[in-house]
Amino acid sequence: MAVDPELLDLIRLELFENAPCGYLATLADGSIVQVNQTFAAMTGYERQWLLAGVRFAELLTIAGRIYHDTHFGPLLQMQGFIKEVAFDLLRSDQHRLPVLVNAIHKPASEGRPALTLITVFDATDRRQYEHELLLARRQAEQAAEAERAARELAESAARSKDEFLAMVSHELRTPLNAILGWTQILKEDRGINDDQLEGLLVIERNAQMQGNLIGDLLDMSRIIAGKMRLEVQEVVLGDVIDAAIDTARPAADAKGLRVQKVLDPTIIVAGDPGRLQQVFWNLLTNAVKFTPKGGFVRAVMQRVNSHVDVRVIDSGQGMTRDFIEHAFERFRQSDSGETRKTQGLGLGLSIARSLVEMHGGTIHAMSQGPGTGSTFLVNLPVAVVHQPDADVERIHPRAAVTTNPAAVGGVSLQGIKVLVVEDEADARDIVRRVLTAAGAEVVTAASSAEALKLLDRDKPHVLVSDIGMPGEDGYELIRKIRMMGEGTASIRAVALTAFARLEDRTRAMLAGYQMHLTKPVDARELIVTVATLARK
Amino acid sequence: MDVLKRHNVKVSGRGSTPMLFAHGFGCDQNMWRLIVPAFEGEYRTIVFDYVGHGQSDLAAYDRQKYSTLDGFTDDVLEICRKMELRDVIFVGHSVSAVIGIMAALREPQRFKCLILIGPSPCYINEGDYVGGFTRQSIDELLEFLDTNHLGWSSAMAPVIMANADRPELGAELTNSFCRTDPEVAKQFARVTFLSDSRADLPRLATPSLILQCSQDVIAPQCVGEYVHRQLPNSRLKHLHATGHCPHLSEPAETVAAIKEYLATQQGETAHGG
Repeated sequence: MAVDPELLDLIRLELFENAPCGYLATLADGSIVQVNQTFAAMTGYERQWLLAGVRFAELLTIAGRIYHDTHFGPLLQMQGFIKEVAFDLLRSDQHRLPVLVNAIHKPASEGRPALTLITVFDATDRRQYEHELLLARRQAEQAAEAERAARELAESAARSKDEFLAMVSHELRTPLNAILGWTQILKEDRGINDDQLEGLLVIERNAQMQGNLIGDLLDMSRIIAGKMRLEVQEVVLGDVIDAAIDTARPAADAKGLRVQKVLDPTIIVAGDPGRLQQVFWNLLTNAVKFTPKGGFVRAVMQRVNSHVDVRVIDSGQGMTRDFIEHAFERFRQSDSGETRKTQGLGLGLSIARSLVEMHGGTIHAMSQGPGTGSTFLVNLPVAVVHQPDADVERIHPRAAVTTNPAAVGGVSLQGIKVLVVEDEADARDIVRRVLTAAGAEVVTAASSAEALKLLDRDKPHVLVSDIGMPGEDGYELIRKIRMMGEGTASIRAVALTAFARLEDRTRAMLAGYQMHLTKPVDARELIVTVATLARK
Repeated sequence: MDVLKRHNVKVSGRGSTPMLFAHGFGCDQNMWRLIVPAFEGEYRTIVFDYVGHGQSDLAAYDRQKYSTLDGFTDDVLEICRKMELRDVIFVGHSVSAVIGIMAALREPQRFKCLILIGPSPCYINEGDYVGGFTRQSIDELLEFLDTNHLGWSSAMAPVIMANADRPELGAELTNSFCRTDPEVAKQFARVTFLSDSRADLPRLATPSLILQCSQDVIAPQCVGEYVHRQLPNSRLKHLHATGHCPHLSEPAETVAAIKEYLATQQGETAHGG
């Protein structure tokens, strides 16, 4: 059906006038020649007024006018069109109306002047959303920034805490070194009487105890910082427990406790032998500590499928249900009763649990209640190692089995020349005495500089050097030595230091030391280490 | 980086007298597309982009350096030195008109004359001086640029389109025209609209032509007249072209006005020589 052209014109006009956006056309000088009703309503001006030579730019705020003349106009001229430019229309009532403007430039042709056709959308809502988006983004950025700052602060605090702990341990261990060294030397002196020997043993025991406390503190900080590292290997668990029993035995003997063990020598676990020993030593020491005279402490090991259960049982006064719940928390001690005095920081069980869990195991405390003794059950996965003998042989050794057959006392350093570098006179003296007593020829230096001179002069076989020294430290010293001439550069070297963290050891090894001993150093360990290095 | 590369310097023309065209706030060297061809027969025409504009090296943008008009003046002089330009006819639009005045004050021997299109030494009204804007309205502009960056970046986005209506505008043009980094544009606006170089005008000895548009909001007629009064050796030419960019809206009129002036200058130079 043919539609009346007049009707079509009417439709076109209606669509134009009532479009949801403003339409206008301008001449080259910017003056408006046509507008629709919607645009007039947006501005609040009469159509006649708008058509009386008003320029589109004049309806904008000052900022918009400048943008119009510096960007909008040039872009339109050069490009022929422009899209989605945000402006504010200045209405007749002086209110501002946020709008989005599109425009097309029609160059002059066939007697028709150049025209610019402009479409104007009310952007009040959109501007509001944009504003909220920008605000949200700014807030998110600020929050991220604040979080980053807080994290940095926390990290820096954690770092300084770690560094503080390392420093404290250094400072606490250094005097222990001298105390233990002299105790060991004096113990060998045949001129002392029994009382004096007893006194020395007490000093030694207490110094060792303090060394353990410092170790616990360091372990705890490493665990908290997630920096505890295991050096995993295949471990005969029985040997590890045996060694732990040996360490706890003197204390048990002193209280007259019976120490019994049922170990299975065929069970192998994947673990760090030192750390596993620490776990059982902790449990055993605890057991000894909380068991009154005449009682017993037992370590019982049993394979259950792919796991091994180790029970450390004592006949002590047991634990309340309430305590069991919190037994493995930090700084928790079962010392509420006045009848028994306890020692330590309450870190031992917490460290033990962390270490066991790092081995993929579990640890539980059990007790029937006060007076009934306690049992700590450690459950560890057994390593997949094929053992040919199917029958599990159970050993019931007697109480006085020695598990350390290597007689260290017999090692001699005869003919070995050692250079000891240590800035602290007392510490230097102890090392010198220990090594000299074992037959070594010892020269000492109080600094890296002095050591470098002596190296040239005395050609020692082994270097024993402190790490933390004023001026050049032990790392720098070994780096310099390793860069020296053929003979000197290959000297065997052991770092002797109170820096006890794993990363300190790694750093010493990386710097060029073959061995790393932590202060306080056991005299026999030092002698054996020097002998081993000299032999290589 | 080479200064010519840094500023995307383009040279054309068969003459020997250099004509250096400096674009204003909001655009780049493509501003001169409709003007430069008219001078290529007689002159050595040179166009460039300020750092941060067009195809310049954005990495060379230094907020410190471009925090005053001196940084831009340095660049103009560096280009002149690098190209060993003498007797330069400097054509500067808007803020570049002022930059040209400052360059000619620093190295007068380099410049033969200045063509100043829509110059304004100070946009803000102060005492008797009418710059066209109140301090408040300039602050409003700067705030508009700061807060309107969604709309801003949309307007700035490069548009690739074959332009059927204007075949003389190649794809290269629509690609880069007005493509200014928003951060750069904001700082350029701040430096431009807050600058005040009125005190420099009376010191200029170099001859100059001021091209004044009709109905120019940015550089109103009274400002053009002020510049003419203050600049010794200057001429003022009123154009029919409206707005702030006569070289875009009325290129033919603009070219004619410049040519007419250059003809008189040549005559004067001949007399002098």
